Formats: sequence, C-alpha cells, structure tokens
Amino acid sequence: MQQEDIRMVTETLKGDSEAFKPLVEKYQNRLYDLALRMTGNIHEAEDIAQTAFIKAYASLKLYNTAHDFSNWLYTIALNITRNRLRRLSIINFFSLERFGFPEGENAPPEPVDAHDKPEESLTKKELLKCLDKAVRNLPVSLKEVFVLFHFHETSLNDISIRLGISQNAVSLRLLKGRKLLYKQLAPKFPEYFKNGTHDKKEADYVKR
Amino acid sequence: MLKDKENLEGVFNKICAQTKLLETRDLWPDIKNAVEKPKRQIGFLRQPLWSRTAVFAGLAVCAAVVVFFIPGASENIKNGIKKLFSINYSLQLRDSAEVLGGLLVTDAQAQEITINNMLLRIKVTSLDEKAVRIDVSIFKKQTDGSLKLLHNPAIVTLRGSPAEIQVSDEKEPVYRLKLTPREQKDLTAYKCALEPIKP
Repeated sequence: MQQEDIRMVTETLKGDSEAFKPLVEKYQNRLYDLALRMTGNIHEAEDIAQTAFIKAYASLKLYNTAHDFSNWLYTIALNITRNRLRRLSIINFFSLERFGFPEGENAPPEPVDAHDKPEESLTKKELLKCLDKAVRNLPVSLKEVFVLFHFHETSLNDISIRLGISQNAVSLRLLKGRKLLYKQLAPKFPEYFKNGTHDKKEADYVKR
Repeated sequence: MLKDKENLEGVFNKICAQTKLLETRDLWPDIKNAVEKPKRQIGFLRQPLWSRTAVFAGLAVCAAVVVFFIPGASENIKNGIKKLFSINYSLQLRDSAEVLGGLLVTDAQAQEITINNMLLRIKVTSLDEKAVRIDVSIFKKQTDGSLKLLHNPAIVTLRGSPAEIQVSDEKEPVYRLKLTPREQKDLTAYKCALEPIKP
C-alpha cells in the first residue's frame, strides 16, 4: 500500500500530474468523511478535502518517503480542519441556527450502516445519528482522536503521528471522548450500552 | 479504570463497526484544474507568490532610491503635491539692460528676482479653482546690505487672465508688471513682463 503511494508520489514529482489521480481517488472519501464528521457541513468538508489534496500536491517535494503517505495527508487535512473549525466557531456564534433556524442543506446525510437489518435499523440509525451529532459537539482535540480511532480504524501509533502527540495522550483523549459520548448516549440507548454500564465505575461516572 | 476503558472501547467499536465512510463526489477534476493552473501561467506569473511579492517590493525600493537621488527630485515631488505656477518674466530698470528669466512659484511660497539693487519677491496663492492672488514685494538694497520695502502691491486675478500691477519706486510708478498666471508646469505657458513706464 505504502509502496504504491510512494510510486505515485514519485511519478507526480517527475511532472506527471495524472499520477496524483489514484491518490486522490484512494483518499478522497477518507478525508471527506473525517472533515464532515469534524465540521458537520458537507460543503465545508468537500472544500477541506479538496484543499488538503491541493496543498499536498503543492508541497509534495517536502514529503519524506520514509514516512507513511496517508499519515502525512491526514496531518494536512487535520490542520486545515482545525483552522476551519476555528473560523466556523466565530461564524456559528452569529448564525441563524443559534436562533432556532433549521440546519438546511449543509447538514450531513443520514448515517449508513453496512449491516442494516429492518428490525434493528431504526434504533441503530437513530443511535448513529445521535452519535454523529454528539461527536460533532465534542471538543476538537477529543473529536479528532475519536473519529480517527473508531470511524477510520486508525491505530494509536498512527493517530499519535498524525496529531503529533504521544500515544498516552491519544489514549487519554479517547477515554475522555468516549466517556463524554457515553454520558450523552447511554440514557437514550441503554440496550447498546448495557455492557458498558456493568462496570460500577462507569455507572458511577454516568451518574456523576 | 482499565476495565472502564476496555468496556467503553468495545461498546463504541461495536457501534461504529462497519459504518461506511461517507462518500464524496469525484474531487479529481477540480483538483486537477487547480494543480495544473500554475503550469499554464508563463514567465513571471509562474514564480511563487512570495517571489513575486519580493520582486515588486524590490522594484518599489529601487524606484524610491533612484528618485530621491535625483537632485531636487524630492523637492519636485513635494511641489507636485502643491499647486505649481511658473512665470516667464522680463525685467528692465530704467536704462539698464533687460533681464529675462523663468520662475517657478509654488503655491503660497515666495520666489525672488534680483536685478541691480532691486529685489522682487513674487508670491502666487491659489484662492480657489479659478482665482489666484499675486503679491509682489519690491525691495531696494541699501548700501549696508539691508533691504528696504518700497512697495507691496497685490492683485486677485483669474487663472489664464492677464493681470497688471503698477510697481513704484520711492517716488513714482516706474514699472508695470504684466503676468498671466496659469497652473501649468511648462514655463512657456506663463507670461509675465515688467515694462518700464515711460514718462
């Protein structure tokens, strides 16, 4: 995988811009998903993904082939996302949504579960929708680790590389994020969190 | 704490497992468009933005240095900001030879013409878009080097209209100063003559 990415990068650096196309096709959904889960705005997410690729292309010479290309690309996308979120937080402060207006066409689509069964689908869909919303409301530092770990199935090591923090810090942020989400979701969807509530400490935490 | 962590991790792993990545439209056409655009630009425009900015800044500094090293250039820049009048004059005192010259007069700043033992200080002041006030001070140089003001006539005239000022010495009118003030920087565009009044 990594070798193939490096080959594409090398070809692109030789002047063949078409060689960059497979890299875009390979990572566009991942970057878009990451940005959408972080911002909750489809247009913003698309723009972030696009900007990340353009920035990556422009600074491809700086990419060290000894490291994973996906980590490098994700780092670019995460930096752009953080900047956008900072800007959006200012815009949202003055937005109509604060005054009860609907989210409109920028809202993300309904979550998709690959194993959709009719009997479960409604609750699961509802849970995923609530989870998406709860994740979006997490602080940025917790949100990014949660999305990378649980939605993008990224290893702790890769997350620590992408964010430039230690693995311990990633673990702590994950734990904190999960607890916050658990606190919000467990009362609404007890059947999904029954395993979690078996633990006395967690139960106490939820009560707190 | 560990159990706490493992339980919650398992719960969220189960919820998020097999959740599909949200899909976007094909971004490549737009990305291709953006990354290939710089290639289509030629020459100077192909340079990175910082390089172009540096070139422009360098040129601006060079231009400023060149301008300020030209003698009188900075003065002319200052004068250009103000209104500038220029006058061709002809001055003749009784039997002495006629003196010809050109005079640049900045708005509201006096300029001097010296001939023999006389000194004329001419000041042109712009009153509004049409009117101009002309002040002429006539001094006589004393033997001790000091100046004695003989006469201080002033006239308000329109730009482009001829004006005439009587200039007297200590006793009687001896000169007639004719001038047509125009707000142009070309010396020949102005006419000013100091004609002796023949008795």
